[in-house]
Amino acid sequence: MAIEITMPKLSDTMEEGTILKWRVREGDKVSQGDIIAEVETDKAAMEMEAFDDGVVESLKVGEGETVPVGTVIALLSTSEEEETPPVEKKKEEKKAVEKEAKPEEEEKEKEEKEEEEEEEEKEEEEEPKQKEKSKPSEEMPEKRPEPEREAPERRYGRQISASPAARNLAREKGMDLSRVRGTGPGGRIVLLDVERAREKSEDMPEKTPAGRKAGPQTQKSVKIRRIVARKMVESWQNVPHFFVTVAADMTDVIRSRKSLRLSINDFILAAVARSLRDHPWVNSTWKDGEAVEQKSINIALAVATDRGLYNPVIKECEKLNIREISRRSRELGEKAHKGDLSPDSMEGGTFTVSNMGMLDVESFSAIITPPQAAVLAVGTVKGEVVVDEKGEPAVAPILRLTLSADHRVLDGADAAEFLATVKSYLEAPLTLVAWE
Amino acid sequence: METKKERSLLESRDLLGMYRDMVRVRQFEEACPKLYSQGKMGGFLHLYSGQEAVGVGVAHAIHKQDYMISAYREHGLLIAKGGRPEKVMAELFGKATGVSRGKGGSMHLFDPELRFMGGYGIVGGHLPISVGVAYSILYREGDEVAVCLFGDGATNQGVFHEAMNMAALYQVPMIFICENNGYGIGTSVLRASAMEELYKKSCAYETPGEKVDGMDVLAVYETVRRAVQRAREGGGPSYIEAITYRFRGHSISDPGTYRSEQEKRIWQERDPIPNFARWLVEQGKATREDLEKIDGEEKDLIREAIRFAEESPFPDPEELWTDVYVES
Amino acid sequence: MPEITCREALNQALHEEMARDPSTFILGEDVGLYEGSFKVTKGLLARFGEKRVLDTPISEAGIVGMACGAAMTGLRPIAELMTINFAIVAMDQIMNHVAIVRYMFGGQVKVPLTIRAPGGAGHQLGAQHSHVLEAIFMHCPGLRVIVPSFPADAKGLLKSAIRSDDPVMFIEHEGIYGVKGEVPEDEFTLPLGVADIKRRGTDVTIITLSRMVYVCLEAAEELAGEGIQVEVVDLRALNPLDMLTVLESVRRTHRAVTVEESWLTGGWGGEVASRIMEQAFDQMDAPVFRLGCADVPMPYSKHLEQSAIPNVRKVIEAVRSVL
Repeated sequence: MAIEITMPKLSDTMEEGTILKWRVREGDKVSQGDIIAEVETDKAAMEMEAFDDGVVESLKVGEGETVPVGTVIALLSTSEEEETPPVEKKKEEKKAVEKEAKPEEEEKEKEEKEEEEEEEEKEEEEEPKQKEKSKPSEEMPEKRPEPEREAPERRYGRQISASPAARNLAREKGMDLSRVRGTGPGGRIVLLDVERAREKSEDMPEKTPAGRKAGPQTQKSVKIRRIVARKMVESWQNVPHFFVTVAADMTDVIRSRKSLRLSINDFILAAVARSLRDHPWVNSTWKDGEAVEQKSINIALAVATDRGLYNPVIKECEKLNIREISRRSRELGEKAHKGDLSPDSMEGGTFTVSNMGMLDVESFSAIITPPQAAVLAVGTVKGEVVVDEKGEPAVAPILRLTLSADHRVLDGADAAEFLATVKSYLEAPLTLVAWE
Repeated sequence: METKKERSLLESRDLLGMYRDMVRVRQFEEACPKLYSQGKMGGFLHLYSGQEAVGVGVAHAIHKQDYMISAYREHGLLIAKGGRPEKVMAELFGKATGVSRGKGGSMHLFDPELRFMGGYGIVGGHLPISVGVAYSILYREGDEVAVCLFGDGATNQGVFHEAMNMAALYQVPMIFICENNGYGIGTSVLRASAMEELYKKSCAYETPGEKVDGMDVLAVYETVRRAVQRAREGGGPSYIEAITYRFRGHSISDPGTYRSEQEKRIWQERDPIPNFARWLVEQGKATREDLEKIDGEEKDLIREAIRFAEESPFPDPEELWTDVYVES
Repeated sequence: MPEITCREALNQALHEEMARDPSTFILGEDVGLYEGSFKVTKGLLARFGEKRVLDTPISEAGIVGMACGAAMTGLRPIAELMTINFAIVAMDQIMNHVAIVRYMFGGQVKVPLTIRAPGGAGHQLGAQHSHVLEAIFMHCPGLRVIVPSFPADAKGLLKSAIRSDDPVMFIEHEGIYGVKGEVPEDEFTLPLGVADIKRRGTDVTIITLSRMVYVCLEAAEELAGEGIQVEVVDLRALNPLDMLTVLESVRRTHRAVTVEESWLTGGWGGEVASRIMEQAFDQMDAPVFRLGCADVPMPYSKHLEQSAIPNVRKVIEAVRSVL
């Protein structure tokens, strides 16, 4: 019996999705939990799991194609005779959200201090890494899934890397280079590869009219990194960022955290939550040309994991005390490390805290995640010489906090006042502990 | 040094020819600044005004088949050797009818028929070439000579010494003529050469060196004539330093402010043309009317040369690619 | 055909051409009595006399300038520069006179002059005596640049160079004077600017010249053992540059490596690579790879020097990098 697999809704605002890549072909056997496709949502590229065992009967949507949420994108035939209840389908879709790639944005933010060029280079450098991470599979032509025995290497970037001679031959013979495996330096498709592919496909007649598909087809295969890049560029270009930095004396936090069994990060989150309550304007989002104050204080965190950075959200912080914030943040962190984060646990953030203290970063500036109005970049605590109350030099543990703010929503004074509040909480941490 | 007796050897006809050539060169050169300012010519423009006695004296002391080779202040030299003013003017205009077909310009005039082997723009660069030209004569056992003219600045170049050494070594039939106009661009000889008396520089190469008044056409003529004679008879190279002065700056763009007004005035008084004219009249070689007639004729000739240059076509665009190689 | 050294082949060419044309003479440092510092001019003085075999002072600019003047006035001189390194001393004469007077004087004069000079690195002569400068002369219009490798080429090309009405930089290599090869005995000339395919192959084209031809042939032999068929194109000249042969080969093999002993930056390999890009882009299966001398003044110490110059191992690596 065939089960319909539909374009899942993978984010709160998702209305349509793009099949970046099929990881399966028609006739492939899949088991529950297998990754069957990569789907680009309006926010990120995500992997889509199979929720049933079966054989892929047909792929209905080609790579690079964008379809509305709910559109049937594939049919899976199961061995069971019974019809699959539609309820199960829904569940499928929900669970399909597995790996939210959005947290990579945070990573991007950290790089943002670097020169633009370096950033670009780095992005390119990262491509091979990503290549290793994701299981390679072939890029398939639009609406024309065709079985092929050998899975060619996936090639990243807008253009397939192919030698001019290989391109020329492919063009002459009307072959689609996206279906040719490259064996040249750096995976470049060379003449020999096209010749081999041609020999192999002799009894597989080419349906594509000569010389049409190869070029534009491949351009649609946008990879995850590019989404992040696009979003960051959009933010950077459209949001008028400004940056304000303060230094907070962490003497009291450090003194009290052991006995209270709380981390420095817990204090920071609590201080931010409290300060956002005190300065609700900072907890705004920019939508349709105006700033809208948000009722809930939902703090998005940056969690670095083996698989990359994730952005889980601690919701309704205004209702939580420091211990609850601490517990929630620990839970989310653990889930992130296990890869267990649900999609809705990564949505709805109204403010982001990016902490690179553990990476020994003194201070940095982050890029805002729209529609949020600000992001707080947290550095490491470092002993610095300060002047104490007696006017004498002393060493104090200093933390630097940099707020990146959207100038359409906030003015310099807003940012300064907000930071002054955060600082005052951190310098008097008992106020945070006492807050119920 | 010249004597009255030797001077008298010259026929009146030759003397008037010298006068005519000097006037022609002067008229030609003095027509140039205006044309340059009108944009008719481009690049560098080094004028010979003031030095006419040297070029004309030399040209009259050699035969047509003798080679002349020079640096870049050479309009007057080619004209003195018989070059047609209209073809020289056309070259300055960058026209196809120019002596170098519009590819050389002011500094690179060339006329194989007149055996004018070129104007060269690198100070001293043509000195070794002139030795080769002279060696060629020796090789063919010809009886021509090669005359190489250069400025005072060239005597400080390495190749001056290489050329002088090799010319003496192979005893080639040539005459090195240094036109010492006192300045290498804006640096006076005194500030550029440890040896102020440049004619002495040939002593290191066992080559006779002689100084001559470069404002006196007959003196130049006689001195060069003797050196040519020597060379033709197998006596090897000679070196002559002609003391002269350029009335204008180094090039058209040089106001010549490094020279005092007094200095300029003293040299103006020694202008080779009016002084020679006076001498001709005094000696009864010519009348004032004869000379004025020549002046008028030469003025017309230069006017005609300008008209020719104006009316001549520019080189065909295809000419860009010709003459790079003989065999392409 | 008898096997003779490159030195002997060049010597034969000089003897034959001087006997053939009485306007041909040779001048240079130690070319006469000493018979050439590399003995290429052996026997010339005794046969042709002092007028035609002219020992000169150590005055490179003087030698080239004098030869230029003689060439402009009807002779056909051969100027020998003891080594190409000294051509730098004569550069004003070569680039500012010899190469351009014909053009500058509107084509009214020709300069049938051959400037012979050996060069090349690899003999621990240090930075001032190890130059490989053919690319510099290639840059200058008006000069023909001939760079032979095999003894037969050396002979045939030198004879043609001497007969050419254009100035020719005839650049020999100190390292191959002693290499033997078959050389035709009788009248034999080669056209200037025609490359020669020294080894046929199907997989990669190596474009090279001079001593590097030998290095590339050795590398090709080794690669053949691995089943890689390398074609070795000996340019033999940089001006005229025979791109027809290069392009014909590259269109067959789809891959090209240039191997030169000159400094890589600004070397001739870049020019050849660019022209391949312009004219055979769609036939290329890999970017053209350029191999050349390290961009450093040549060090004295043997190991440093050897690591600066392309060798068989580097050529093999270069070939592999485009496969």
